[in-house]
Amino acid sequence: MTSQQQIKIIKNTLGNSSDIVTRNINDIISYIYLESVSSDDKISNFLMQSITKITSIEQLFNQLKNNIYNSHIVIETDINKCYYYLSSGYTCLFIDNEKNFIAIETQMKLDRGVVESTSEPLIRGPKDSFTENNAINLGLIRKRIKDPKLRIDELKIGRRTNSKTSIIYIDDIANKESVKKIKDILNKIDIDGILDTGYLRDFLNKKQKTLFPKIISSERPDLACQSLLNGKIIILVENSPYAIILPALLVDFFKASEDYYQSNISTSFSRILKWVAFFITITIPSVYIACMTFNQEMIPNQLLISLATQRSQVPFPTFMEVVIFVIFFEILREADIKSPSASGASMSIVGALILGDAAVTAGIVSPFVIIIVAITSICELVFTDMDFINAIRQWRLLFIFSTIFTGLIGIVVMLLILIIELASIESLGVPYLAPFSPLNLNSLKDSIVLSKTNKREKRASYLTKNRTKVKS
Amino acid sequence: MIKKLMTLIIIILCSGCWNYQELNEYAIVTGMALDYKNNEYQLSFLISNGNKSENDQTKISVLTGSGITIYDAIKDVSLMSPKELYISHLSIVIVSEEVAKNGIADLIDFLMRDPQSHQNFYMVLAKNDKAQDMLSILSPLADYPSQKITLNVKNSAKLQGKITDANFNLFIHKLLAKGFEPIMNSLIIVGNEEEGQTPESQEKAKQDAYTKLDTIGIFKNDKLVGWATKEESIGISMLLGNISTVYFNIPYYNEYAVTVSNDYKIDYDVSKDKIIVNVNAEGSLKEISCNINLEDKNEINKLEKKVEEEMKKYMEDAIELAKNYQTDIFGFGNLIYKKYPKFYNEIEDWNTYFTNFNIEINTSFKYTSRGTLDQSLKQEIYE
Repeated sequence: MTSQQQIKIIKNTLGNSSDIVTRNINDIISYIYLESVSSDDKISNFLMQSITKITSIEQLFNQLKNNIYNSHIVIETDINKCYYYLSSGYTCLFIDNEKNFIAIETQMKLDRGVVESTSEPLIRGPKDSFTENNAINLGLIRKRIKDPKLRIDELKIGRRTNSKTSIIYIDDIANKESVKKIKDILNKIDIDGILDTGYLRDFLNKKQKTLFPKIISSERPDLACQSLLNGKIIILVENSPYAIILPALLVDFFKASEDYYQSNISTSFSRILKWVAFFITITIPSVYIACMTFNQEMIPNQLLISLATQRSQVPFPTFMEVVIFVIFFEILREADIKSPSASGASMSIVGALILGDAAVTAGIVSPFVIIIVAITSICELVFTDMDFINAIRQWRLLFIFSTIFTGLIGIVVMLLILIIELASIESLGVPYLAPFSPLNLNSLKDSIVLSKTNKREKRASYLTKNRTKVKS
Repeated sequence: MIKKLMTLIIIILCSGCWNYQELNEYAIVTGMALDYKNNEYQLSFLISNGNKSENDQTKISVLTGSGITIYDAIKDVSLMSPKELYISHLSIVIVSEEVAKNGIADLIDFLMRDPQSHQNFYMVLAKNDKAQDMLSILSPLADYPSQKITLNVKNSAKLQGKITDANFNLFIHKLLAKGFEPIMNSLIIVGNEEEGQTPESQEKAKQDAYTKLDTIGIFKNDKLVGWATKEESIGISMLLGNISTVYFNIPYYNEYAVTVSNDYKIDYDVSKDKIIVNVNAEGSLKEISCNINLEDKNEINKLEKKVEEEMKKYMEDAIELAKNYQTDIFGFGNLIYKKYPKFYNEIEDWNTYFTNFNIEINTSFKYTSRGTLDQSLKQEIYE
């Protein structure tokens, strides 16, 4: 079969797409590439130069194989595989009467480069973040952990997208069973395509239904590397700037990669604030409803009178006032995230003026409700993980609805349910509430408070068996 | 799934809203006053959450109803109120002299029995005037009259010995304890009470009327039997030991040396035939109008002796007063009962036994500071 015939077959399979470029040289060599994903410069500079230097046609295939100016070439027999290579930006080279073909890497750079993290900014620490390019992402991890034991296992998920998915772990730290479990789950996935690590979320926690996230998504390579060193496992998907970190525990959502770069005292302080904010943001609106409609005796004398006078002009029941305003705020927030930055200014004017001041003046809500909703949303903003924030928002609404009917008792019952829920979740076989329950004294050094780096000598026993961290 | 959802909906909806009550449907009662008129109780409620006036000030309202029982009177008041009366946040109860003389057991029974009321509020006697008038004297120093009176009692009890920090709880405790009788602060109106109830009075820098704390009223069981004078009030507070700061005008060389005691300790030596009260106090000089050389140690010692005598006199006067009324407001009987319960039970009536009971008082006083001046200023000017 001549090379031109082979190319014709490929062109037919690809349906004569407009971005196909082919060329035939001396009726012996033909190559094909997709100009949308391949770099013309690379092809003209290196591939063409190498081909034109060849003078004899004897042993042509071997000559080509050895003389092409490119470090990344693949020799393939199966013509069906050439479609994957073409889409990945490779150039496929065919020679007359030769079964094998050569795929040469000529990818065009289609990524935005390593830029600063936008969703998890920090003040002190490395600023780089993952990008959409798989090789760069792996590089950001590899350059931080120069350990021969670092393993990057790759598989492809998606019948149509064929996305490269990497499972990254350190061989002698990570729990082998967990790695095997993840591989099994990922191998079983049969889906037409995945475009982001988010697609994997539901496959990874199939068993338990819960509002709390059982994976951490982060775009910070330093957080990923911290997790690797602690015995966790990372999943990266091509074209997704977010890494999945497994297993995820409740304490992890109160940590930031920055924590370990600062003094342990200031970290402990900010973590305590985060825990306080967590409980405030979940319970405050419901505590307000309970105090206003069921348990007035809880409020100090003077505050009660000022609340009662403020409320006296509002025609709605308290719970409606709170629910309406909380939902208004959720909508405002949703709109703010999704809207282009150009309309952000008008959004904030509408939000601040109409929902705030004007609503009070018009007598739709009492000023105290605005304070409550403001406190709630400010406390919510201390967290960076979107999944976790969403869990908090949903739980807050559950708290509000139970309080509407039963007052403070409803809050107590919901707190019990919250603890039961948290205690019954497992992430990759690790209890969600670890190290509090089951209690692990050594790991408490890195939970609500953080002890000094040289005092945190051991890794958590629920994550790994290889526990020595700091050798004294 | 549908079954589960239905169960949830039924559970929530059938529970109704159980104890649900909006805050703005309550009339918040912060003060209560009890008077007598035509053999009926006259009960006044101070409601503090009225609508806001034009200058953003919350308006208050005093509603008065009458009835043969307390509850009857409350129901009479609620006929006037557009909102449900809510007495959980009661902070002051004012009882008129007339009611107190006839006994306040009815009132106390109601307040203790009512599940809504907390027992942390203060009780005061209305001396000379009607109790309900005191509830309506406005003051620009507080948002509403009951707040003014409560803070007044709290701070005065802290800063001077004439007022006791006795809330309702302590009152019942004394009333029910063996060998103990209660006392109560009193309140008077200074100025024109009619004018003092108008908002115009509040606009002035010098109000037309204001309420002022007065001397202590002495109870026997639940009945008011008499009043203490200013000096006797101090003596009573000293003997009860619940003061932190107390001051005396010490007569010296025909003039006065004002002394404040701010470290006051008392202990009781109890035996069957007598009780010895030991008082140890330390204090400082606040004002000197007499001729005294403060650099002279002997002079200071002499002054200290004088203070000790004065303190002893205050207390002895207080005991004399209590013995006259045959009521043991100091709880000496309680001390005996705690130490010798059998002996106490043999006594038929402690209050009559108390009149002949021997109480010995030992005082000691030391100056810790005499202020920043060494001499009396008067002395320096005229010499």
